[in-house]
Amino acid sequence: MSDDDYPDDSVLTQQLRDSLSHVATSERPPLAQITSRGRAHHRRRLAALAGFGGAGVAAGTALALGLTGALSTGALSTSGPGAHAGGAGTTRTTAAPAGSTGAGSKASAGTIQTAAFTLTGNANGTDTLVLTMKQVFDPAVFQQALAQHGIPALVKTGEFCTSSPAPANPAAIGVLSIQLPAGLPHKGKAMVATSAQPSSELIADTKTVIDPARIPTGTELFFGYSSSGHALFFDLIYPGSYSCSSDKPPMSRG
Amino acid sequence: MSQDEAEFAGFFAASWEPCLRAVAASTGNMTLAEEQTAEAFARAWASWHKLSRHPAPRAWVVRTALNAGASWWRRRSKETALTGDDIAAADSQGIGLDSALLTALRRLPARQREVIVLRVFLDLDIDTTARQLGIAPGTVRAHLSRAMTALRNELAPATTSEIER
Repeated sequence: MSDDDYPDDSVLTQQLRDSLSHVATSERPPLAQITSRGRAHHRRRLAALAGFGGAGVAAGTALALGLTGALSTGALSTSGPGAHAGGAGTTRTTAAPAGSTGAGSKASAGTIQTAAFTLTGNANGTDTLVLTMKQVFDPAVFQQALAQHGIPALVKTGEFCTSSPAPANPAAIGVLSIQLPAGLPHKGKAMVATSAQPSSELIADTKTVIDPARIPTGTELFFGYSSSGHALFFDLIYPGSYSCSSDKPPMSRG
Repeated sequence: MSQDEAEFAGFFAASWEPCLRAVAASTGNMTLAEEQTAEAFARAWASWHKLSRHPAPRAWVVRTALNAGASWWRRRSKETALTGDDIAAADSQGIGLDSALLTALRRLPARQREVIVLRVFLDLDIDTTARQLGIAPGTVRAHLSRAMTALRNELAPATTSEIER
């Protein structure tokens, strides 16, 4: 305390500080855990700053891409609790479920639902993606939805992008955890994520948990939609160093 | 490790304990304090390019941690009247803080408690405390004076009765 405080408070001040020194603290968490969590925050903030907070942007993009129906006000926006944009539009955004706004969770990710996919923010910071792909898959809308959930990604249709040397397979390092739809194996596709051969494709009705905190620094997810097989190829790429081709890359990589 | 990472690692190592103590003393719940403090440090790393130039980064962390827990406390205060010593005593056992003191701290209005945390626990001067809270130095002095008076009044009866025994 300095002389700008009341002299009588000095005893009490010391008592308060002494009490604080008796507070038993636990071991500090690993630095990597903190920085990983911080990176997820940073990505979410960048995504918000990238212009996904405006309904006008989302609506404009949707119109440009020929989506049927109209996006309701607030669709694909970072709407606050209680906000709901539904109606006849093809995209619907709902607020995050109760209890999902705690520390470490997404502030306002909620659920984004289109005809082709549903993306739901989970309380632990991950997101659950369920693909339906019963209608034409729209890469821009999917990329926007991922960005809104703090997931850096590039999404294309009919093109498949890879970096060389390639980062780790996202399914192998826990960025994506894939739950296969009932009844698989599915027409011979290499869908089953085994330790020897992780999956590189998602098909309709696949439920996938995405953990943005596990995306390695300097990389982002790539999703390439194949309309012929209604499948979504995925990989990790370096945003500043990748090439794309209409030829699908080899299916799996450890 | 980059220079930023090295700087942040140093800040994290040196500041975790004092920040956690300040948050724990303010919230009275160590589990919650750990979670809030970890969250605040994660946000600190996300903003490290700015925070590294901050005049009082520990104060930023503590305020962020307390803000992160504010909604939790609002919910809890609706569910449980924070007037009973039992609550504070139960919580204080978990953090090793004197229960009377914890009760007294928890009864302070939020702004007064913030001033105590920054001015007393983090030992910031009046001007820095004022800048952190976005209020005038005179207002900090007024909050501090009221908080200290309230704490003294809360703690005095216990001290007196102990002496009388």
